Amino acid sequence: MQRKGIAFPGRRGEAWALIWANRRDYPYVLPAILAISLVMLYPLGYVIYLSFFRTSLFSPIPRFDGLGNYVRLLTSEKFWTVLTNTLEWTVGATALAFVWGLVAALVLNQEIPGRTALRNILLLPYVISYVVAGYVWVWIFHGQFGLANSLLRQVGVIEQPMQFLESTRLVMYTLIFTQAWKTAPFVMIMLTAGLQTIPPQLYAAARVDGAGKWQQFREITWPHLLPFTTLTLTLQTLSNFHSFTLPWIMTGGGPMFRTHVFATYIYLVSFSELNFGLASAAAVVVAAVAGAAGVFYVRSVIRLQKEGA
Amino acid sequence: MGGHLTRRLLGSLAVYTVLLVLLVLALAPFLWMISSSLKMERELYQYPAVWIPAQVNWENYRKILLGLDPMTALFGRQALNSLIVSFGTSAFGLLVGLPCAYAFSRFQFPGKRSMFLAVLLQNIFPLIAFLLPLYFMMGALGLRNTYAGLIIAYLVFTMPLSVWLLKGFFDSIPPDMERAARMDGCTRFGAFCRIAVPLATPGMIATVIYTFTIAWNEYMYALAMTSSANMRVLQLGINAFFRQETTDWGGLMAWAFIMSVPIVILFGALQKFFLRALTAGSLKY
Repeated sequence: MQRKGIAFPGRRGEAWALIWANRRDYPYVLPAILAISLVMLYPLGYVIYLSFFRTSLFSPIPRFDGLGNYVRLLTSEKFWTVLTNTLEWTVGATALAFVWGLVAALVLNQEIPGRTALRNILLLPYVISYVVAGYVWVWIFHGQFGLANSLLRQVGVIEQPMQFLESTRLVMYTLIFTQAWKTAPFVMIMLTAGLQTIPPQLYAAARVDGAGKWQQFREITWPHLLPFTTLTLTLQTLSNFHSFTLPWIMTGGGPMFRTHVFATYIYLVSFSELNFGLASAAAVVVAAVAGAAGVFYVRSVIRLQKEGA
Repeated sequence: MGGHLTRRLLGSLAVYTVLLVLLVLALAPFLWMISSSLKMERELYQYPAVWIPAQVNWENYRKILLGLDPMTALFGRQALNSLIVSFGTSAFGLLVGLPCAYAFSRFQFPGKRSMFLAVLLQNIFPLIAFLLPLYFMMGALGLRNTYAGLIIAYLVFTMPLSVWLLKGFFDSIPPDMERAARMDGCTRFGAFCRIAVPLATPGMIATVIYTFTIAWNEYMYALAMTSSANMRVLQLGINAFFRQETTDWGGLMAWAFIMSVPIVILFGALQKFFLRALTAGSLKY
């Protein structure tokens, strides 16, 4: 539409007339637009700009370097390690939290006395900060005196303490579990909102027709939940893909880079290695990947809006 | 009939078993945190794990709340920092978001759609992508290690959130009252301030709780933007318990508990608003 406007000056004049006619609307949005420009659009532009410059500890003055940072980034072994870590972490945490939250939503959708109170208790992990969650679980997973080791030894599953956070084999699962514990309540709340849109008469009718529990779930619950599922999964995937605090608190990316995800890696390159150019290039790559995933997000949002949720 | 009843009983037994597992998983870490914060040092490292301390030890809370230990001397200051930053963030987000949300809900003007999309940016792009430029910007403006610096940086997530939540609330208020006020000679801005804003109070409460919680819990930006211990917030101050060789786990758990109390109380008291914000914030797009 707008491109056509440039081709036809008359249309362009019309657009300006429309803007002029609505001129008293803009002061309302002006502060928000300024804020977005200041803290989002400008930084996004700046980080792209910075990604074309070479900076290092030894030469503090940025030097134009074209795509140098991108080449260095994509040819570095660390980048690919971080990429696989991030994918593993994102898929694992999203899937586990989804199943966890779905089960919680379904269980608490039954007629159970004190349902609201129980739901609130299940929400606690979501309410507290990642810092608190991280440190509490670091203490629980302590390789010597942790509660997890104590319980497993008492039950007799293990004889020697497990190195939940020190072993490169285990650590990713430990982190994924903790992240799922922290985020499952969000899934529960979103899916509960979805379950509440299902008219109870549907179940009554299905029971009359002799449908079992599983059949009811497959034929009624699941299709009704689908738009909510898509949205929840997309939101969770994006937020896990971006997460910083839990890995940073629990392992700092270690051992041996095994739990460095994009956000922690970019932070490390920025503030420990002070390689701003490389960090910016990594940020641009991550933002581009996230932007592509974001298309799904916008789509599922639009679909949900059409369904009238 | 008997078979049917047995099946139902088994079914609810399964439901309650699953529920019990979920509750234990959700609560055990919190109970362990509290238990660890009240133990004597030697019990902290005992095998098998001790849930209920033989003798309740308040020392960890005393040393934090009274600032007795040099490690915890800054607790009061950092708690104040957290409060100021969180209040400032939610107030600023509300101030900027309110008129914008109102315009999105009530007016039709060219560019509205693209401005909508601009607000969506935050959910798609990682916070880390904005961090480095914001860090330089705050440096250039002399706003590192200040409340203003953090509050402005937190606009990245509070502003879109406020706009979306509040727009949803304005959408649910019929515009009749404002129309009537306009007929009586009220200005457009007057109708917004005196009619629409008071009607949106529940929405404003939900928004403020939500943004307050996020600001209170935020870690990454605070970590990058504050280097002086005096200006650090509680989420960062907790690092004081990691010393060169040892970690004071009891003190750490006590600090984590204290830090969570305001948020949990806020949530408990206003959970209806909170849940409304949580679902609306994600679903209302």
